[in-house]
Amino acid sequence: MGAIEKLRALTDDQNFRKKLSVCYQCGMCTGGCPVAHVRPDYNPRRMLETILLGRYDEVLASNLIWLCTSCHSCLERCPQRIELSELLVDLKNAAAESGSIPKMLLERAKRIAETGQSTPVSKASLVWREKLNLSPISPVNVEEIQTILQATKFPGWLERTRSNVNGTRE
Amino acid sequence: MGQGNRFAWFPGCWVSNRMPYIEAADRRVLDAFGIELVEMKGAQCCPEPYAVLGLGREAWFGLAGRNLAIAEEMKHDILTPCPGCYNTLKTANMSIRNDSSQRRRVNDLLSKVGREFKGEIEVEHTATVLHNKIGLEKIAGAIERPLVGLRVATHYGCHLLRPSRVTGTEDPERPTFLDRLVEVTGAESVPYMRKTLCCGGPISSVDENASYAIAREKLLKVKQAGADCLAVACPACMIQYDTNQHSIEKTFSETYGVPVLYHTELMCLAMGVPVGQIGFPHQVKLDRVLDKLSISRA
Repeated sequence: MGAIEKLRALTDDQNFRKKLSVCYQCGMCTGGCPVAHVRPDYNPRRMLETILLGRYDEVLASNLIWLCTSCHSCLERCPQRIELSELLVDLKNAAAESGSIPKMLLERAKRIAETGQSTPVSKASLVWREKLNLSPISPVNVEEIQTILQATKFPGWLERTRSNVNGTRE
Repeated sequence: MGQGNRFAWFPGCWVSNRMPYIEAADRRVLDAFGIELVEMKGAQCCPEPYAVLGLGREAWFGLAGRNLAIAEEMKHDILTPCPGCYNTLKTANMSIRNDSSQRRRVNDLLSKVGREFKGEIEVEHTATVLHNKIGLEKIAGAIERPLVGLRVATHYGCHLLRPSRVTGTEDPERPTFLDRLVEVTGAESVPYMRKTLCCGGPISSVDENASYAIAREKLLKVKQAGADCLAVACPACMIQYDTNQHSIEKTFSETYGVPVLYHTELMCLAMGVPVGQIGFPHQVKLDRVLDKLSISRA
């Protein structure tokens, strides 16, 4: 299933639709959004409208859904209690399932799947810890992590997807 | 339910590997109030709420459930210095506990690795423990070198506050607990615009310019307010405001010169911990802060 079909299936779901359809387009979400202030093409209110109208290609255009910082200002301020930042996670998941993932995020997810850590343990950090009288970092049980990820089909995505969204760093 | 003053310590990847000085400062402060930190053996990344949650919610729940199960086996509440870890583990704890179908799915996953989520512990952040459990009165009694005259702008970090249905923060738009923790040191918490603005850090790998532009807004407001430094409660915000400050200055051809401290570092200064013991290895030098307080660098 491609990303657009995934999104259509998601937003055709009655429960999902019910959450969105109470939006009266007041724009509180956009007014409080830190990203919208610096990237006018990122507009949460308009994004919600676009989803309601079923224009999924616009939702997936550029890498807009990945620009949410998950600060949850929109969720906190929405007078209709629409949890937009949470709904965006569903959209990201649907895009990711069809292989549309920013490169850097895919790399970070791979690092977590392979080492259990989002930032690598470096020799420098171990020396630094010792200097501060902190205990060494204990090893992570990677096998357990991979068993869990495998059961959710997570590594399947990691293996078969290649980033087709432009990241700013190579 | 956890046991009294003992916590399962969850420093998170960034503090463990990139900012151990935050862990050192936390330990100094918590130890002074009789808090014992027990290592969570075998725990992994929280998992972080951007890549892992964005790529797959079920995987995110499964791994968060694993960390929670490890703490449950220890019979301790989790304590972390990182709002990202705090929010991930607290959100997962609440959802898995209250949503029976989510709980079934997570426990299906955990059964494959011989673990089980029971919903028996809570998740705390160093700031919430200091403010709510230890209390301002007890902290005030441990202040040996009041930071009188220091003007501090506080920055909580989004995930320490929101969603408030998860964090329980009374007023997520106008929070006060970090300000109180700063003021108990004798410093002044200065009011400034855009106080609860996001640091922009999470999107730095997708759009660095937008990420920096968001951080710039905050740094300008802090500078305009005439604060001597910014006190943060989040390692990710620390990276954005301190580690990246020179890059942000370069990007916008501006100068901010805002020193950034983690909230327990500030408390260490007030408790008389020698500067050399924590190191304060920030990118933006703390000279302005230390000079104002006449604190020696030894």
